[in-house]
Amino acid sequence: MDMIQVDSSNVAAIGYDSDSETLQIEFNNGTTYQYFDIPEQIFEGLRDAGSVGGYLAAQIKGSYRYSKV
Amino acid sequence: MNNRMSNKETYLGDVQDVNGTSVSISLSKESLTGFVYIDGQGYRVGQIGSFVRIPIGFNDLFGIISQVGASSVPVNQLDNPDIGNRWMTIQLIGEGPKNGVFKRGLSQYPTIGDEVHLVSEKELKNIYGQPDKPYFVKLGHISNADSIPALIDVNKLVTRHSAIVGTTGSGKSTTVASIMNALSDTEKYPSARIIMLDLHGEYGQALQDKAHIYKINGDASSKFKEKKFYIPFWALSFDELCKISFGEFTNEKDKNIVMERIQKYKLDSLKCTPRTGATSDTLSVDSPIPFSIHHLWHELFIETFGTYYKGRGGKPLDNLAYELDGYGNEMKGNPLQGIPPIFKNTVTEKDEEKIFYLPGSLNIGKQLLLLGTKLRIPRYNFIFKPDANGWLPDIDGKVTFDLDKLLKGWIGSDKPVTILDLSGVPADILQTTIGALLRLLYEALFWSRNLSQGGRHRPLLLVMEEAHIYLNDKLEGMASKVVQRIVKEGRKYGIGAMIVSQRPSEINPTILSQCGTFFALRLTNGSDRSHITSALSDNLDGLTSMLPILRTGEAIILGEAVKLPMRTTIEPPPINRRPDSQDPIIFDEDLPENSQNPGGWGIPMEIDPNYSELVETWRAQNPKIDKVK
Repeated sequence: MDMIQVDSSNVAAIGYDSDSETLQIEFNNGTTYQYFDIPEQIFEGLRDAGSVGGYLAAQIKGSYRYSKV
Repeated sequence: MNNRMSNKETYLGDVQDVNGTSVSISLSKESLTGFVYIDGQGYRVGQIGSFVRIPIGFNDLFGIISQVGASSVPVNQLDNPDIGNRWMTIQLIGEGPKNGVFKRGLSQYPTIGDEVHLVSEKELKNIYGQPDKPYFVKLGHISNADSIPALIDVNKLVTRHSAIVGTTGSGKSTTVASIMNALSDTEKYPSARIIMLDLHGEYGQALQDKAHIYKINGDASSKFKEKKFYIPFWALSFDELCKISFGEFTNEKDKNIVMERIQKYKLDSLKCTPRTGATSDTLSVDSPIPFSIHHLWHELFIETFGTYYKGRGGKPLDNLAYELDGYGNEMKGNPLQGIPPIFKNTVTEKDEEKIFYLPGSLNIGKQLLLLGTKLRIPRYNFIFKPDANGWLPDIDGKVTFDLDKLLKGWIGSDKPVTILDLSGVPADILQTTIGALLRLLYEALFWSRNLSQGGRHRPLLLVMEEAHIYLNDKLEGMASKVVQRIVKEGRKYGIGAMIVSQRPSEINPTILSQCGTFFALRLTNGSDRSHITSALSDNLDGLTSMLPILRTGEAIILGEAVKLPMRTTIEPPPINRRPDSQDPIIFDEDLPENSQNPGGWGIPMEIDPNYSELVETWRAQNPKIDKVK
């Protein structure tokens, strides 16, 4: 998955695979998670958000299931 | 008198009683103000674990304070009103010429009336501070003196074995990661050779760029580029193989039958493919010669369960009475897939063709059924199907790869550290697997001791995480036996052990007592602590009494690899190089938008949580679900 570096206090990079609707989040501490069944517009919202950490907390955490990679 | 004046500020008291290495000191009235200033820096007087100096002529003796106050008062001084309970007991540990290099051990004792002085940070540096030699690695700094690095002698650390002990959450894994980081400095030690037994898969993250990671079902495309972990069954000794494959035998006769058969298979294999170093004369049942356990199993299965047509000519084995499947084919089974043959039931009626059990059939049905199961279950593939195109022997014992490739991958690779992630090993064979693995390494390095890649010329450090699981004294484990041999004899052949455990009282005492260096982190449990105290060679009860109050990440390092016991604050590796052993977060202290945790009790549940994936991981015995790419 191609990762996009982001400027955030907690997230290092994000990536998205539209075929499987999987969002990959790499935190600054090096741990990586994949969120499943994420609609593309959510990913775009995350990518374009002013605060990636804030958008992640508000829209994704707690709403979608994930697995540590 | 002049001398006393010049050192007045550091003066603590006088020696009153010398009993072996333990010395009683009466404290002077002046020193009891509590705080002493030397070179503008404040020192607390009478801190347990701090150092004192006793000048004797041109030498200084050094000791560690182990007791202060009422309990240190010698019996015959109990009624002495002059001193009261201003007493202190110290343990002597070494000496050095004034402003010279400190050495462990004593050539002389202090005597009554000798002055006792506080040791300032400048003097401490003289004791601890090592010349900048490349065989010392820095792990952190001395706890009450930030400017003094805590240096470890690599030579002693590796060859004299070591133990890292501490309660869960005391910073053990981080300490291990720090040590590994320091030892795997490829500029300093381009040929470092370290194997880590990682039982929970914690260290991949911490050492990713310095280590190859071997894992059962390892995934080369994963983040850490895991390689697959195999132990070919044919490299095991007969005892190890029995424990892993057949289980217990009910009597010696059955065991001998299997033993002779394996020997025969190995001999045939050797005849078919000669291997340098092995001859038919020296071959034993323990020799690491490839043979097909699948065909051995199939053959023994026939001899145990087989039936045959009595009336037909020739040998019974030529007339086996296989059951027929729906297409009329004989159900001969499939050795490689672990599918057993199926035989017709015995027939003794008058008018039908008689079917009998084979004459002299073997009595090892239970063992063969067990092995058959293991040949079929994928969890055991790392032993019984070690890479179909690699170490898996065909019927003649031919393999594509020999043991050299296996060993080269583990201890001869381009990276200093090899992590063997054993998190996927079935619990019932974990001990035996580790025992076999360590024995393979030990034997390989032991016999190759004259070669440049042998143990004497390129020593190996074995880091054994969670050692109480497989070095437990209560279990008659193979691992415990091999490690006992390693700690007793490994020094001579360049194999060093580093035992890491949170439960030292469960580790075989022989193993612990052979460890020359101890990194003792916080230990709260009394029995664990007394186990450590008794294993320490130094007479330092005072120091070990500090174990329950150490801070997280703080360790008392003592033994051969350090000049002096030192209370050290271990410098943790950078945040993205820490082992993955952090406690799960219940509620993150960071605000939601800053949190680097996606879970915990503070985050709402997803709607309609998916439990079929949860069951998938359990069934697959693999924490990674298929969906993760």
